[in-house]
Amino acid sequence: MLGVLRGPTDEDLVRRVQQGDASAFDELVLRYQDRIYTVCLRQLGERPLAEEVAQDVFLSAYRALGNFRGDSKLSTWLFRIAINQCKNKRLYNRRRAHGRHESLEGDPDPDRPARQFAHPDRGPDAGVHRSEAERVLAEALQELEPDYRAIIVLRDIEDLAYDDIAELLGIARGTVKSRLHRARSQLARLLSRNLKREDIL
Amino acid sequence: MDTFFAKNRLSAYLDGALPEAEASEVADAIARDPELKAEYESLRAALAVLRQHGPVSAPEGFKARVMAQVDRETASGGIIVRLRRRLTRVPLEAVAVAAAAIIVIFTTTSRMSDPATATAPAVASKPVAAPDAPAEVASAPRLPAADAQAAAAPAAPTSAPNTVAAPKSAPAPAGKAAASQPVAAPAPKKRGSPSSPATAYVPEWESEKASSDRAFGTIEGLSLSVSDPKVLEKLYLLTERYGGRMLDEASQTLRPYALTAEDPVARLILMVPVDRAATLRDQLAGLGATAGSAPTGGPALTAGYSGFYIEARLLP
Repeated sequence: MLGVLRGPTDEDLVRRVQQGDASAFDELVLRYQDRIYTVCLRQLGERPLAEEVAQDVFLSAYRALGNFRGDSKLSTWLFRIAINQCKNKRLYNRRRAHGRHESLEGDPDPDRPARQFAHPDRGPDAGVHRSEAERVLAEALQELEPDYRAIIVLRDIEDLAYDDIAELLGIARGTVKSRLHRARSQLARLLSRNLKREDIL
Repeated sequence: MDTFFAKNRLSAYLDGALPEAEASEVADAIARDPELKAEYESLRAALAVLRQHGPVSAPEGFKARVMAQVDRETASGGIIVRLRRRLTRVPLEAVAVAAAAIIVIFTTTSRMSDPATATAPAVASKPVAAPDAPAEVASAPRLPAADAQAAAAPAAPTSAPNTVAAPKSAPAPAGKAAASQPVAAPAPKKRGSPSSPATAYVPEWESEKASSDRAFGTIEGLSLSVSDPKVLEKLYLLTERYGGRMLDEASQTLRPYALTAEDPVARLILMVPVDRAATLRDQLAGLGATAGSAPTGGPALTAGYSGFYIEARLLP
């Protein structure tokens, strides 16, 4: 084989988008949709919510690309938007949940599902997992603190380097390492409690 | 290496992030301590589950749905379209600013030449040395609209050859606020302060330029809608980290405070060294900041600093 065919780089695509070429953005979405959706799903735990936020991530990126100067990698920049949007969505849902009062005398509107937003971090997503291991993993991730969940998703699922994570989360490299260790230890305990050995293997 | 140290290095060991000698010590500790070995195995298993079952594919039709939203955005004059429109508007705005500048200079010089009306206007007052540290700039009150315009206008003619290196320092999506904003407006003259005698007119930016070889940056307007009420704290820390200062426009304080449902909007001025502005800009975009409008008149900038004017809004 004489050479490897290569597509345009992220930088090429960004430049084209900045020049008004929407098809280049199409290519960027195709390139990153799985990774951004994964971050959103593993952060939020619910598929419809994850899709909604992932779409918002790309829309925000499209709006902000005109100002993107390439000081950080496009992937790091997109992940940062995704992490922040997920955080905002969780807080927004939690605030909405607090705004709703459960009546002691029963719900005046029987059609409204009770405590619809009561557990925004533990979305019901049963029946859509490819395996028992994935179901247990999804639930265990939702048990973690948001900061721990974010760092695990970025490092162990998205395979980002320590330095990229540090830049993305705005924390020191040493903090990345220590936080990652604590997050993994907690997750390992949750998984070993809920997952049978054969599921792990 | 004792068990405690080895335990704290298990994660980095699994990532292959330890120096060779340290990795070898951790391996020895794992081999001789069954409890440590169990923890190591447990972490390794968790990583295997994460890597195998963590990634998922986007739902079918995801890209099409995103692009449909993008198309709607573009059709309604989205950011790219708006950016282009703004770029084509620049010459008109420049002409308007230049015209205003000529009128103000003409008025100023004619008033100064008439001893009967020799009360110097704001811009002709004794130059107030622009502060060097951003903290000092922050403590300066914002220009009232009228003063701001008067002070800002004369900046235009000099911007041609030798002022404000703004466009040079921020080339990319140019034309933003730079063209229409008076970059580095002179420090404001306090209301009610005594007028200086009408001596030879030396614009403030000229005197500062003479005492400083550093360029002025741009002031860029941004808009930020957030759900996190503590976002101001984050912005404050972020700006500090880049060697800058954040100022709340309304309270004129340097201290951050949280947005609340009662007080959901804050207008902030962030100043950072020119060479850190692009990086901070990317960080702000990462927080969800989009293009917004910069203030009329603009805050005073110190040489060597760029500014962001951010309207932060707490989502309901």
